[in-house]
Amino acid sequence: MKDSLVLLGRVPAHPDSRCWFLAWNPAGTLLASCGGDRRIRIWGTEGDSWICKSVISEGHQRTVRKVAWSPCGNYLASASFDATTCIWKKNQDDFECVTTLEGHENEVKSVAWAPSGNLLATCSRDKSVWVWEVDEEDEYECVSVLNSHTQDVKHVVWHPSQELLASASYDDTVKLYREEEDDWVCCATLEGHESTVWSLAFDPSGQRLASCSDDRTVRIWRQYLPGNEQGVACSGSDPSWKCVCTLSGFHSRTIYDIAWCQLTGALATACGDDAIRVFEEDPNSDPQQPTFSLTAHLHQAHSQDVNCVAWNPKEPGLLASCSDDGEVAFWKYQRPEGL
Amino acid sequence: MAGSQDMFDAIVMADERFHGEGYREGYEEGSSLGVTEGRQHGRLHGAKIGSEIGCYQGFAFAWKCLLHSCTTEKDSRKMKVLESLIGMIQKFPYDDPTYDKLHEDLDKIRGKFKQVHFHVCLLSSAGNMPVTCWCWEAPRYPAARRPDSQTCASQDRLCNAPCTCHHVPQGPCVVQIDAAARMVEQQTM
Repeated sequence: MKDSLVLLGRVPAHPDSRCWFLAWNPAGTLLASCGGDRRIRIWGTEGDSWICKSVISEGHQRTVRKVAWSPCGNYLASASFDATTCIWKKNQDDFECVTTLEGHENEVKSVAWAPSGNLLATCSRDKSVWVWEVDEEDEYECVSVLNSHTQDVKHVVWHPSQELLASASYDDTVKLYREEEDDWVCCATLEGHESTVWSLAFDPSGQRLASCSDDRTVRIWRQYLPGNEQGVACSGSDPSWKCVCTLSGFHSRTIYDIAWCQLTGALATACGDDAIRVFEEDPNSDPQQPTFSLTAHLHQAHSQDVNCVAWNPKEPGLLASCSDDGEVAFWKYQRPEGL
Repeated sequence: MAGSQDMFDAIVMADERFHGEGYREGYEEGSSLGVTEGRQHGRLHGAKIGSEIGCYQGFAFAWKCLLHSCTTEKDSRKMKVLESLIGMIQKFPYDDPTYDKLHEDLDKIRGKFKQVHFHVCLLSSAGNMPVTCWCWEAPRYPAARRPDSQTCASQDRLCNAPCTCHHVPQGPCVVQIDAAARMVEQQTM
């Protein structure tokens, strides 16, 4: 386990500030980082090192909390504490703001693009999740305002292949939403965490959802369709989600982010104890009761809380992380022998 | 003999008897005061919810009239959302405070109103960046603020001109200590 996670390099992405989030573009060639300095930086490789290719310094009045690339890679969305979400169009190394989405009453905590590229979701401390539709003329329209959570909504993520949206909140729950007759409705609430749910990640197939929380556990939820063999009850035509695995005792502090590699299935976590951990599913584990083993545990990955981990979508094993110390680090993960 | 038994009985059981009587009197008085207080409380809260929904309904009807003659694709989408809000408000059971989905439906109405508000404040000319009007907030339970007649309801709004009272809301900045601090810190992350 000692050499399973190796440091490739570090960059001072947001000096004197926190680096909050990272997002790889779909091609895996660029990494966007955002931070408390209100800036977004785009990083690319030049030989063996990572250099800053662009900086977006205008656009937000406060911390940029999350960034997300559109599935086509031509647009970047940024969610900010100034209550707005900006959409940036990429023109080689330049980014131009094409739209500012307003409507949330306070800090926007997350933004995510649906795999189709036509839908966008944002969530905020105002407890709501907004679903936006974008048409061919780059015009954004709000199609739904969902008030299902009772507290600050921390993260939103789309299913990899369906138009299914998941949100995580300070109210300790995860909620799922889908479109029903021209409007979006909450179709499931996942309860089990004992504190704030900070982040979510779907597995490559979309059948499972991983959530991480302030209660220092990771939970894996599995989707059961109506009429399933295992006899899990479903209401109507909505699938049911059941917690099939809880990883506890591995993290000593809040787990701020979780990332499920779409290439290898490895699960990485970002923790408030400054460490990065990687888990892999045991090869012969029962799908209804999977077991995961810790395959990498890097203490002091950063000098402060690790806020985000992101797997490169094209290069297996390439992991980026960022921290309250303002740095972004790049790692090479290799599955240990004998597993 | 019987007389002296009653006399002792009266003395010995006095404590318990007075306790019982006192309890019954207190219970009746408390119930009656409780009903009065509850009625006042209910009236107040009912009025607040009614006021909030009434405001959304008025807003929706006004915009329905304003958009009545418009025929663009965008306007028909706005109309659809408006009709959806009006429908939700009309279906809301005003006379049943024990309705089990009261708060859920109320939240859905609030969400739909925010969506309508977004749509009707959108700049429809020349496909510019959408501008949301921050100059008025719908009355939110429990606080209420009425729209400023100089701005939203002005001619500017009718001609789809940009709202001139746009401002970016300033977020909270709280620093506290200990458990309360951690809770607040979590809310600001």
